Amino acid sequence: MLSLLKKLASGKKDRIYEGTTEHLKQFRLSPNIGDNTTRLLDIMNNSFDIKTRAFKIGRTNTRAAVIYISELVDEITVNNNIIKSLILESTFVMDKNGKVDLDLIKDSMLSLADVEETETFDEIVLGIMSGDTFLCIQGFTKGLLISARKYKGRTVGQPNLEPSVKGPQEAFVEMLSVNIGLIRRRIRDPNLTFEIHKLGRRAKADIVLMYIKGIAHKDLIDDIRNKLLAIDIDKVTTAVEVSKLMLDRPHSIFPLVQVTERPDKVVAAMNEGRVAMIIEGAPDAITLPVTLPILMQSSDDYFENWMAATVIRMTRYVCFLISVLFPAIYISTTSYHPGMLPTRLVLSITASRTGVPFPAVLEALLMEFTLEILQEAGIRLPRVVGQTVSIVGGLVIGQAAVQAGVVSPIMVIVISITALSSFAIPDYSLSMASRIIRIPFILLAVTFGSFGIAMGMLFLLAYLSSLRCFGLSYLTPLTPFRPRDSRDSLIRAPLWTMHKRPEFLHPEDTIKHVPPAGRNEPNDN
Amino acid sequence: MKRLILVLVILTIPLAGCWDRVDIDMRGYVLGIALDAYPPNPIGQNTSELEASPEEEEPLEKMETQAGRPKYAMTVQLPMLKNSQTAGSGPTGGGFDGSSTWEITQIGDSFISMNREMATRTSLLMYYEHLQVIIISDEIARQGLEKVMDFFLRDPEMRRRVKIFISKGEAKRILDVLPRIEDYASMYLSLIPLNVKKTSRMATDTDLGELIINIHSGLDFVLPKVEAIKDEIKSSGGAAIKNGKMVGWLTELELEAVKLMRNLYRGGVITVRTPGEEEGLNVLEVTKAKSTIKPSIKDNVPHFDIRIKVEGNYAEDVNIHTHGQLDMEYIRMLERTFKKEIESLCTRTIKRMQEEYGADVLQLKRILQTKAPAYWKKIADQWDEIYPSASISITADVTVSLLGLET
Repeated sequence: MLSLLKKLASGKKDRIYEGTTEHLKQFRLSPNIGDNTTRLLDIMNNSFDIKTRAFKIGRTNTRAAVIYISELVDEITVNNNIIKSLILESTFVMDKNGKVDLDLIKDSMLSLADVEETETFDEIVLGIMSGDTFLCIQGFTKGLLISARKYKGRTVGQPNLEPSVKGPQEAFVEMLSVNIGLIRRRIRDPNLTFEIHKLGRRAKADIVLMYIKGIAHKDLIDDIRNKLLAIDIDKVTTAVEVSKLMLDRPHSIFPLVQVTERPDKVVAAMNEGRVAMIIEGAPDAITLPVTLPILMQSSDDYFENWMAATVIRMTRYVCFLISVLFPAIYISTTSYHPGMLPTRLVLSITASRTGVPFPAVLEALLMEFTLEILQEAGIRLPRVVGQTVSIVGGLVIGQAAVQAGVVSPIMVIVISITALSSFAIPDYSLSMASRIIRIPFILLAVTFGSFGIAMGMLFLLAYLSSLRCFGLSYLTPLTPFRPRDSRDSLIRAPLWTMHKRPEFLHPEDTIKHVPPAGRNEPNDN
Repeated sequence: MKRLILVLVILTIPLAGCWDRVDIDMRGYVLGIALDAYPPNPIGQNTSELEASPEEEEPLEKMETQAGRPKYAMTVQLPMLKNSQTAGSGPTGGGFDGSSTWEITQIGDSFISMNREMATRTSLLMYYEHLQVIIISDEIARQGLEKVMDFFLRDPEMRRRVKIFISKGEAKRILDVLPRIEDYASMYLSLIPLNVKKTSRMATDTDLGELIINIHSGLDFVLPKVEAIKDEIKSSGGAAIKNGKMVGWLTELELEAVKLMRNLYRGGVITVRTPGEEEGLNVLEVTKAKSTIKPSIKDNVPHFDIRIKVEGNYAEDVNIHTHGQLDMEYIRMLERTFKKEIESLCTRTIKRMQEEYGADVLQLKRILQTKAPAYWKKIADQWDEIYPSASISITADVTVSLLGLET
């Protein structure tokens, strides 16, 4: 079947898109602006959103034209600062012979910050597509790309996926410039570096590689940059997609990047020596490299007393285990080892199961499936009818199914606790992973009992420790064990004891915090 | 290749076949076992239900035996679990006669075959890991525990913490009791020994594991006695076991004395008559009791010096007119009275054990084995003859530490 498809497909030869702009390099501006505008409109297929405005400079006969995409520029700025000034105040730009001087226009007339001279069509087209305004003047083989961008989009809002109790309540938006601002505002360090790259043969999206020079290790930055530049794809929407193309272990169930919508998280990551990436048009950034303990951290951990934070964090690890193992443990103990349970519990479980037509494993898989339906439906459903899911889910599954005797109440409890636990995992992708590996564990439990679960756990541990993210073992700092770094893993030690940056990231600047001299135990958070 | 191996490994999962998998509601959780002799003792004071049962039911309880003739009746107690949603009353519904258990009696020659025979009569798979109690009728116990306990000691499903009781009369009757605050008589009975800190009149540490140790080391010991009326169970006193056979009952007070001497005392009260008062009683609530037994050999006759140190609080006085006299002198006098009472109680008990039962319930044998091994080697074969004539002296030492709220 597959080979047949391959044969059919091989009839057609693969063609690769050679890019919109590279081949335009050969075309240069002609002195005639009529030719230039026609050619530009032609290249951009006469799309209706491209606006051209031709006018005469001053009272001379020198003709000029601006070309821009109306939705990407601030038209008021274009009118006031480019067209108006050129039409009305053009006497300044004429030299003694009454001729127009391009350099004078560029230097003295355009009251806009970003003006670039350009000659070739590839730059012009890319500029216009990115929201620049192109100005060309009759008789010159040079034009000006003027940046008067104004993207329309959301304003900065609250984080939806990673809410926190205390701390900043800002989340990234779809506009890169706004996002960059959110980050820059938090660190006023000239070493905070934003490297901009264009990604995508067709999309040419701006992707920004962020790091703090002097903290992040050079090799790590180079490695990530090389892998980023090696990507050849027509378009990407989010930074996560980019990371999927960069990772050494593309099949990993566990997330090997941290996706976050919180600028404070990105800043914290960079401050530890990690590297972040953000792309135009996506409201989330990724940080690299990542380990399991990093994914289990939440920004709230650092705003609370260290003892409270430690308890909460350990709860989270337990929740991860519950999310993965609880249905499996329930099945294995009830069907293989009921002797392990207290007698009264056995009797009450038995009583609640009497009359249930399915074996425990089928019941668990059924409920598990229902749970997945509920979660998926809850996400897909429009907000307006969102309540339906909770009513139908709660009533039908929680009560009616039990009353009808299709599932036992104890199984509803087990699956509910499992679902709740999976929500307690801070990283959405990690929580997703725990949902996926739950099923194999259920199957192992029903075939081999507790022995199967033990084998599965061994396999899972081996798998976890085999994962690498840019050379970093996934379970660092737990294994390989680094005592100093593990202060911020299973536990969250007091901040004053974590005065060094994590060693496993090999930061170039190691000290994070210098405790006041002669003071051993400062405030405990 | 790697992928092929992975596929093969995954394929073994359905191949495993889950032989041992039994859903939790498919098992019958045996909570209690009662062992009786069959045919029941004709002089037993209780009319047996086996005899009383209608004619047509009897054949179900008898089985075709392979070799021996049916000598024992084994009754197991299964909980009747109703679906909580449909039954509606609590986690465990009620049976037709208010009972929430089902007692299945099987008559046969060996216990494993009786156990297997029951599989022909229930839809459930008998499961013994939640067994709470084994009740043995005194009739069987008198014939010899070792004879009947082998299956229970050998079978891996029998947990070592199963409590053992000796019933006065038919053992099955205990399981038939409907306790008022508990659905299952077995569970109820197994929890009674937890009150051992409050009273010393019931035996402690008498589970299957302890039984094994005692039987295999050839020691004599005491098992708790249990008796029942229609809806009540009482466990007090004990049965003295000598050489694996029950030789007689211990009264509640005798058991108390044995526990004091064997250092098993966990708490209880000691009552004495007030000296000089006609009807007056003084009660000591024991908080700490410790005993040491020192053996010494004189002229080839062993002598045991038992010292009991008792510490307690003055708990109550009844019918006395000496209030206001609770001074040091009075307390010292009380201490002496308690001491005398303990000493005489212990002496009486020991005497009866030595002379009437010949049962070494204090396990003096073990003391000789560990503390005077050379001597023990010489007399190992004659211990049964030597024991009744061994001299035992008892010294008690009582301290009254607290007097309570009232002075």
